[in-house]
Amino acid sequence: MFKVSDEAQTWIKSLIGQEPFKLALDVYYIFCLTGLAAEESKKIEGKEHDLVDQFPKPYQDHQRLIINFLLISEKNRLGISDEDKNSIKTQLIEKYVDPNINSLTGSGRNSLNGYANAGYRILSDRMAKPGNAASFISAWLKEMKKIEKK
Amino acid sequence: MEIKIHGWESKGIAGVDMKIDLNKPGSKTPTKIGMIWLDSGGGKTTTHELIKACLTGKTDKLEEEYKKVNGKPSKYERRKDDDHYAESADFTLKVSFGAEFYRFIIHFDHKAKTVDMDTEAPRGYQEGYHPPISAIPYLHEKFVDLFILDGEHAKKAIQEDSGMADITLNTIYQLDRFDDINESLEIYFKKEKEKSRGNVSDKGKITQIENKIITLKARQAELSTQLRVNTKKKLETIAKLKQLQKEVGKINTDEQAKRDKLADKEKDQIRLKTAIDSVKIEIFELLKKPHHLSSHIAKSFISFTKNLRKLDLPGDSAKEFFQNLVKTPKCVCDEPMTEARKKKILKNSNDYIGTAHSNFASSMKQDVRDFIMNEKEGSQDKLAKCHTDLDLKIGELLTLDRQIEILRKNVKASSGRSFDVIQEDIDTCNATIAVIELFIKDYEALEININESARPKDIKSKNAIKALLKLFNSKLNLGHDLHNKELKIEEMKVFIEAIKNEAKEEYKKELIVAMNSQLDEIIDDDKITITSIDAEINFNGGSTGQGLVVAYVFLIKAFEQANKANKFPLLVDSPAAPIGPRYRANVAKMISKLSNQYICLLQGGERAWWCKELYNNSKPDITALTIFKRTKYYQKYFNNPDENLIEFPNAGMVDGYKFLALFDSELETQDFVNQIKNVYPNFDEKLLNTLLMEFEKQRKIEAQEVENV
Repeated sequence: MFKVSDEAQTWIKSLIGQEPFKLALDVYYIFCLTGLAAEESKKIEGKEHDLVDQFPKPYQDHQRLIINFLLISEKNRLGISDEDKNSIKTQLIEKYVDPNINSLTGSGRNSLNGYANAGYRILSDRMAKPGNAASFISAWLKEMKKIEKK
Repeated sequence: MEIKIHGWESKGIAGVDMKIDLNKPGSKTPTKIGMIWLDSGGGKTTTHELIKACLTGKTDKLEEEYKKVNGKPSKYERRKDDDHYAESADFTLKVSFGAEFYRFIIHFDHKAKTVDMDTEAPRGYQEGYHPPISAIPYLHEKFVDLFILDGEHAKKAIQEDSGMADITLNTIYQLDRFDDINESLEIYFKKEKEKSRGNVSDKGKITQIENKIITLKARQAELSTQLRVNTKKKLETIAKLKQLQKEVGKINTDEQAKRDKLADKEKDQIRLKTAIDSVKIEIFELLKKPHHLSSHIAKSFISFTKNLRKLDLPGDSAKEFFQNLVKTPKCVCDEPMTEARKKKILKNSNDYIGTAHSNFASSMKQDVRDFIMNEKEGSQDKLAKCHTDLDLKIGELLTLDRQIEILRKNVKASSGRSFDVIQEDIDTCNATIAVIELFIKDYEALEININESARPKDIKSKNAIKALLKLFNSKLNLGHDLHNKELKIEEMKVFIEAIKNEAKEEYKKELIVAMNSQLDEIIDDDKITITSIDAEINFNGGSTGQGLVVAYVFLIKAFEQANKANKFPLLVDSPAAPIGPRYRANVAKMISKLSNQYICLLQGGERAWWCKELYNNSKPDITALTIFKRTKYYQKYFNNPDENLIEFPNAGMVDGYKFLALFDSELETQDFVNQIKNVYPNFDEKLLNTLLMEFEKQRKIEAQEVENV
């Protein structure tokens, strides 16, 4: 199950329903991108808010890229070397990828939840509670540039 | 219905073989009295037990005897060194139930240690116990115990706190049927409760549901009031809105130019908002390919893919290839597949990933090639452009918003109020209508998932309240039904118990009168008066030896009183011994007056005072049988046989009172002494000698009388 903390859900409440955040997973995805780009993961503490089980249809064409991004960030975060074939095989691909459903395993989803939670923490530290989706996206893109430069 | 015992036959069972025929000569009717004298060790008690087993069909206790003795002969089996030892034995009881004749046969297989039963009924011979259905209520163990009587059972009726008198009355008068009714009611309620599991019957839960219904109804009324208020308010707000729109429409000519400009700006505002939405969607679509975020991320994708290729992940072969390879007799290099090779191949196969993961990794790499490496335009530039566009549009919208705000302030309606003030009012009206519409939407919503535990104040839909009220009302109705049933059943049980007790008290009163009248006839020297019948029979007066007289009178009179339509044979093992010599004659007289069949199994010491009275008061409706073992002492009866002697392998039997009265029993005096000791626990030599003298004298008188006849 993809999850965010109850606190994060409250923070993004006013965005939900505005374009382009029509699905439960949309703002979660913004949090994921933030955490993955920053290569930071943080376990959810406190009450959790369940979103969906799998990537919804609008994400399915690109879900392999998202999984790929997760593997890259996890490899870097865990400090797995490029030469360590066994770790890449067992600790990343076999652990996080469920090839039967072309998606993430339970561990994979848990790992992505950690990145999303870290993303929320980064953004809530740097940005005011969002109200208007356009302003939020613009501000977020600016923040992402800063995160990238780090 | 009348149950009568016509006789029995015992073959191969411990004791003597015997064939008892109680029928009158040439008749199918038994004599009213059966008097059977059986020598000590002849199997009197065994016969008594087997008659009971035949009537009740309970042969399991007989079979259990084999287990008790641990390989030794059971109480129903003869000793192996007995000249007449048999590996199997049979006991047959002949009984009539009204006009129907039955034979119950018990088979003992001493070798297999099993006991079986067969029934010969008017409809034929059947394996097992098959009494007539109409007799079944009287053939259960508790009831049969009362007419196939054991001296111990009778004694308990007068023992303090034994409860036996009460139990006996319940059984004889069949008052325990009331208990059966109560038990059936309990079973019925239990089943009803199980049927409506999940519903409630206890008062506490019913109150809880009732309170929920009250709260829900209050919420229903509250929402209904709110709906009325809101509908009215909506109509008023719509009217006000129309007024405001009219107010906006009424402007002076001078203001028209400003108004047109404002309208244009408002149109621009809508267009700009739509454009911003498009840019936002475009940005979000771009973001679904994460490499659009930055060239750094795009490079990391490419680098990771290249690294996978470098590591040969996935390789040209999947793990399964090697797992299959080791199963073949030869390796791909045509060398034999040795254990060492197998081990090494399997170890190295771990460097490869499975087919499914391999396919996924290949697709992942292909995605990087298609979406990132082969992308013509700089994808990050595209996102940056969109971002710039978004910022510009946000800026434009801010400017436009400000312009519209100023224009609204400047454009004045005919009323003199500026457009922004009117617009504020319009916005308020629209907000009010939106809130009311939301309320109405919630109020009318169809609730598919009804949450029983939801707090009524959180429920907004009338349908949800209706559904919950329906649910709780149905639960409450079922709960009430069940609760009412429980109350009714409790009332019925109390009522049935009261009827039972009232009937019992009435029976007791009648029984006490009948018993006292009978006791007056039997006991003339030391008067006994029954005062009450509780758990036991309470009486005044009487001395040792009279207690059992009371017990007999109790049973006989209770049977007489309770079963006028039904008659049962009274079969008693050693009836005279426990009574004591003084009252034997009177009890015997009483018995001869009974309308029921009476059979007694007598032993040494019991004939005096008893047989004579029973015979003289019952003749010719009496059968008197003497059964003696084929021993050295009794050989004289075989050497000079009586004309009525019937011989069995290990015994002899003579029919007739004269033979019984004159019969020379080997242990007669010794048996009498033992009986006296039982009746008078504190006896002394003086009393014993006196009684012995009386006994010898009586025996002589009775013998002389018979000789004279």
